[in-house]
Amino acid sequence: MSNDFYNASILPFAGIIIKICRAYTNTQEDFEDYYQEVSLQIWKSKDNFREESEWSTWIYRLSLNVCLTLLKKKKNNDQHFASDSLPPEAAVYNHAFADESINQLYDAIRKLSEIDRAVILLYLEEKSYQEIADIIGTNPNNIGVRIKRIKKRLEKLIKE
Amino acid sequence: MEKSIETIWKEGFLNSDALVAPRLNDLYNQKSQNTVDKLLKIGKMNLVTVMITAIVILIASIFAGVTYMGMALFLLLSLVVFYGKQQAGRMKEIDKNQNSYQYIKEVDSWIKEVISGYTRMYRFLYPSFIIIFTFGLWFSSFGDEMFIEMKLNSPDLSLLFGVPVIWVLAVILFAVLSSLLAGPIYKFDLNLVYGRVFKKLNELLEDMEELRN
Repeated sequence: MSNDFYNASILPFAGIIIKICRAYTNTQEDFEDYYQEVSLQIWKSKDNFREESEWSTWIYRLSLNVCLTLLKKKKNNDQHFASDSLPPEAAVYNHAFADESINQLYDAIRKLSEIDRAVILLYLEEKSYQEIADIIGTNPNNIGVRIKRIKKRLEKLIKE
Repeated sequence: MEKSIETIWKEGFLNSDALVAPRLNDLYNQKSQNTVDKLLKIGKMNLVTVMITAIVILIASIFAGVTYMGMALFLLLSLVVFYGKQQAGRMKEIDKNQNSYQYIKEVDSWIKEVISGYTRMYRFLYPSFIIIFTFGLWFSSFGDEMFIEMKLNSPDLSLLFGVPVIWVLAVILFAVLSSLLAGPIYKFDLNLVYGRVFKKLNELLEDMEELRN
């Protein structure tokens, strides 16, 4: 991947990729692998970007797709290492976020189903219901109800 | 008052250090190295299999009383192994410290050279196998039995140096055909053994070429 493309088109949006990859991995090593794979896929798929959405929205969509695919592959390859089967306490990062609350929130998010993780991440990133529905490929009418349910579950998980 | 998850999310990322992108590793270097290692491993296994086959043929031929045929086939197969080992040695000399693209490019041209070398070799080896096997068999005790049976069925059988002319013609035809078709036959064989690794290597190279443009 050329440095120019990475610096100009991926690095400014690295935050999005980091936030998403963190929700789908339990270890620093996996996180870095996912980040790398997402970056590579963005580069490889850049010609498919049709400017129907913003570049950042496209990055959200692609990052989620790559993470979901990698998670599926990982589950198939290594059943007992699947992130869902690991308790959140097992999450090991060399560089945990400085803010303890966000670490707790991530631990709770990682306990959600894969799609619920995607929905809540997009909601927290202040995407509209329509955008969330577009990115995930679902009906926008169901998003609101789903978010309420997820938020309740997250609050409960954080309190536990 | 407890913070809402929205607040936790917003405040959690206020600190700019929270979103430091990890360093991208040289992904292609790792991928290319794995593919090349796999290629070398399959190649080594292939040569070991050929060598074992050569030894088995030699031993079996001694027991079957066709020692000369066995020795000749053993020598031909040893030639295949010798060439393979020599080429594997050349492959190991390719500098791994150069950039991934150059490394993969060199591996690719090495593969092409080896394929072309083996194709040339098989143009001679395939017909040799056929000739040695057929005539080796003919001049053995099995051949004697076959000769008696053929002579009984057709007493007017014409011979050339003690071999039925029809056999000689058939063997020559097969030998010529095998020599002419050596390329496609070898490619078919190659695809069975190395097809997947070659495909991976090609994909990798295409990817890298795209990256460079």
